[in-house]
Amino acid sequence: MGSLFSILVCLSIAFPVALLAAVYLEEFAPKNRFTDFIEVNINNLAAVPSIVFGLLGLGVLLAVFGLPRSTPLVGGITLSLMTLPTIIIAARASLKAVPPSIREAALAMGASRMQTTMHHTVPLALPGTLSGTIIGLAQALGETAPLILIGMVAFVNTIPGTPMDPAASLPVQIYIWAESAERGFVEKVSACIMVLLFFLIFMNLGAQLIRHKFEKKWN
Amino acid sequence: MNKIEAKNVDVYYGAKQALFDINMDIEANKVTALIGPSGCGKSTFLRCLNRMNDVIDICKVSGVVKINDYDINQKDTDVVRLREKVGMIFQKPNPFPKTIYENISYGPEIHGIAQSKSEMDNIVEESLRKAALWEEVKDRIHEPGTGLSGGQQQRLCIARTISIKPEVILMDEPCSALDPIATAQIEELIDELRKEHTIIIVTHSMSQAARVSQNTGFFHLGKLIEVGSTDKIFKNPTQQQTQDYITGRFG
Ligand SMILES: Nc1ncnc2c1ncn2[C@@H]1O[C@H](COP(=O)(O)OP(=O)(O)O)[C@@H](O)[C@H]1O
Ligand SMILES: [Mg+2]
Repeated sequence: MGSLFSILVCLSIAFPVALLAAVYLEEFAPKNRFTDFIEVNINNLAAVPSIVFGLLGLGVLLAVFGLPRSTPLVGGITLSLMTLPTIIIAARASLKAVPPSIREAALAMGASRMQTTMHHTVPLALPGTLSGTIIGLAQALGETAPLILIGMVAFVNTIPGTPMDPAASLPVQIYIWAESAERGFVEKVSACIMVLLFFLIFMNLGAQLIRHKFEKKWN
Repeated sequence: MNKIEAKNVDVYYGAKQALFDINMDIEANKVTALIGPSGCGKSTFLRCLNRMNDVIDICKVSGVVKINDYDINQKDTDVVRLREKVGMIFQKPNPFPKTIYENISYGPEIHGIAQSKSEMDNIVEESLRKAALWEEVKDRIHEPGTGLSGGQQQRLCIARTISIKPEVILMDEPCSALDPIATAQIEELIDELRKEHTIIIVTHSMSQAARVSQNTGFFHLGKLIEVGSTDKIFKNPTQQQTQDYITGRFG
């Protein structure tokens, strides 16, 4: 449950923000030094080790905003910072793949730039963006380092009712249990890993399905 | 009467000048053909008439283009209204990846032309009929427009354009991706459309220009060399370059 809430929080923050950022950069922003600079930095951010995001979560969310420790809310926000660049890159790639002839067709019909983007470009880029998002989320689901830092480590065996309650997440659980020397934990760790793997396979399958179902063949 | 008057139009792509001081009048309800070797600026000139060059960042247009005596190159010109009045057909058919019906209903929808579903149905049918496509697709108007043949797709694009009743239709080599039969169908259609619209067609085929147009302009290296009635341009041009081009000596 801890993982689920984290991922939901992550999705609901990262997806809209990333989509808007990608649409702005790809469709509206003028090409100049400033946007080049942003572009380079997005690519850099995607390569930053996750532990750095964990530190950021610790420093900013917990210390500055005083959000409660070890909650999926904080975990989700941290993870969404981490997945943001991945999703932006996926969304921009899908927006780029929409042929210019479609934009021209809409513009020539007297659609404004906003209408062209909202009615044609974004819907056509959505499947690609979604599968990129799921892959980003799957990556976030397996992340341990940032979560340890923000304290999603306590062994919490109650199922959290809201994202504001403390909770444990799967990868962190595995990490802790694998550390413990006692025999009984071997099975628990295995079970945990299986659950995590199952989720990851499931999500990647979902991404593939979306991609195949909606992929447009441009002639 | 002149529908369009272009005066001293210069176009630059970055530092490269693509059009030099173009002056051209275009008559209403006639087909005007623009011919010339490729790269001479025909498409560029066409795109000046509905400000599609705005889309290209590096493209700078100067001069006056008057449509119905109104200069469309002013800062406060509403390009949405302009493109509602001046439609465009592209070289490669570019239907939206949506159904045939949605392709045509899109224009009336964004411009708020149809008040009801039945009115929209009428517009769709009428546009398809005028584009000589209705009989072929009436049983499958809710299937994707991209599933049609090339010629049908181009007629779908024409139907989409006339759905909002533009006064002027710009066509940029509309038949260059089509086979001879589809080309003949489009040419027939162009002659029909000129009753209600003013048409400007770019073509690299001189025989096509001779078949469909009443007036012809000959471009070369970014300059308008000669313009006049199609008859005169083809039978009795005043410029040596025009003569050379139409007799196939270069280009
Ligand atoms: N988007 C563009 N960017 C830069 N140069 C362009 C662009 N479009 C056209 N040009 C240049 O402008 C000139 C005229 O092109 P165009 O109007 O397409 O010619 P035509 O339609 O007669 O073949 C060509 O030299 C071409 O290289
Ligand atoms: Mg051209």
